Amino acid sequence: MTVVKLDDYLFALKRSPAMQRELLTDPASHLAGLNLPDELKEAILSHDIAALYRLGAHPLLIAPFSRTVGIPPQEYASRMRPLVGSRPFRSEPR
Amino acid sequence: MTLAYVGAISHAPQITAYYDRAEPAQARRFSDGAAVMRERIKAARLDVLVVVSPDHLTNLPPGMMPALCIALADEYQGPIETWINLETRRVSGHAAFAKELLNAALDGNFDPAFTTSLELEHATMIPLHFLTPEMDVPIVPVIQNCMVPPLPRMRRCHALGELIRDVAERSTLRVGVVGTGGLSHAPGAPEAERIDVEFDRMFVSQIAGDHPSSILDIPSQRIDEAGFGTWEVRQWATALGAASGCRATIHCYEPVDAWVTGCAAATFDIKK
Repeated sequence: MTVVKLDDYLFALKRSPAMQRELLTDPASHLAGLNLPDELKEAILSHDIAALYRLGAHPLLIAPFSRTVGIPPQEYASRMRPLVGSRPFRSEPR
Repeated sequence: MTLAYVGAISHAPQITAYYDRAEPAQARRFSDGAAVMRERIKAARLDVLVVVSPDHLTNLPPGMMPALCIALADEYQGPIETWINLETRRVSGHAAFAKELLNAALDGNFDPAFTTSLELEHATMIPLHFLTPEMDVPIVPVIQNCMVPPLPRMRRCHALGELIRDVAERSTLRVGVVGTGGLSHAPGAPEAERIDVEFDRMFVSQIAGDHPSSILDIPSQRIDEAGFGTWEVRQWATALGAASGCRATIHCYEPVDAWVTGCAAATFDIKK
């Protein structure tokens, strides 16, 4: 599988129980098959949702990722809180 | 004229996932507001309900995002989410009206994408849970991109509502339209804990006031400031278009911290 964009990967992961199982049970070989930059692989491997956000992932794809890897909602909020304002929302970018 | 109902309602997944975590009075006022919509929908004896919503990166991939997508299936199932405290239900689709709408769009000023299969998510199933709990009104899901910028403009969403109205008025069916989403929220983002009550109160006051179409003039930057989930007020613009710009009666507005969303329910006047 060739995946070149973080959100494409997170979308595929959200939709695939098989990919989720592989991520949880054999993360090294799961990530070895992905064509993603090392810093993204590291963020995925370490379940670093703040890094995923900093690296541009869509919040609505980080949230299901966090459920897959077992990050409770309160911990999710506390990890994300320091990033308030870091990525202004723009609905109509030019 | 067979446009029989137009409304709009919030659809945050936490509404059912964490219903009991809300301040009880707030939860009750939201449920009561939705119940007013439910009664009016029942009284309208609808043959079809057009449910205008976003897709939260469930069906439509982030790298290939249509501005607009009409679902043509004759049966649906949902919600796909297992964590929102709703049972999986089947819902009939009204494929004939969906095709009529698609063709009217293609004949007119829209060129929507279409899909023959769509997995329903909270954006449809939570509104249906409150509005047609028997799941006895066939639906036509219409998806507007509120997720991956650049988004369709508010005025285009309003024009789509006018198109839905025109198709409804030519139809022998009794048609309802419900826009789902908003008001302010930013799910999954660092700003998720902030509800922009000031924006929400301005928005409901405008759409219920003497110049409801003034919501189309809200600068996109102001909507952005209220959180990216607020982009879903596009569905309120679509509902307003379906209602020919008539004002809404706001049944409830509650900024519910446990649901991390400014939650509202409204019915629009429609010209008889």
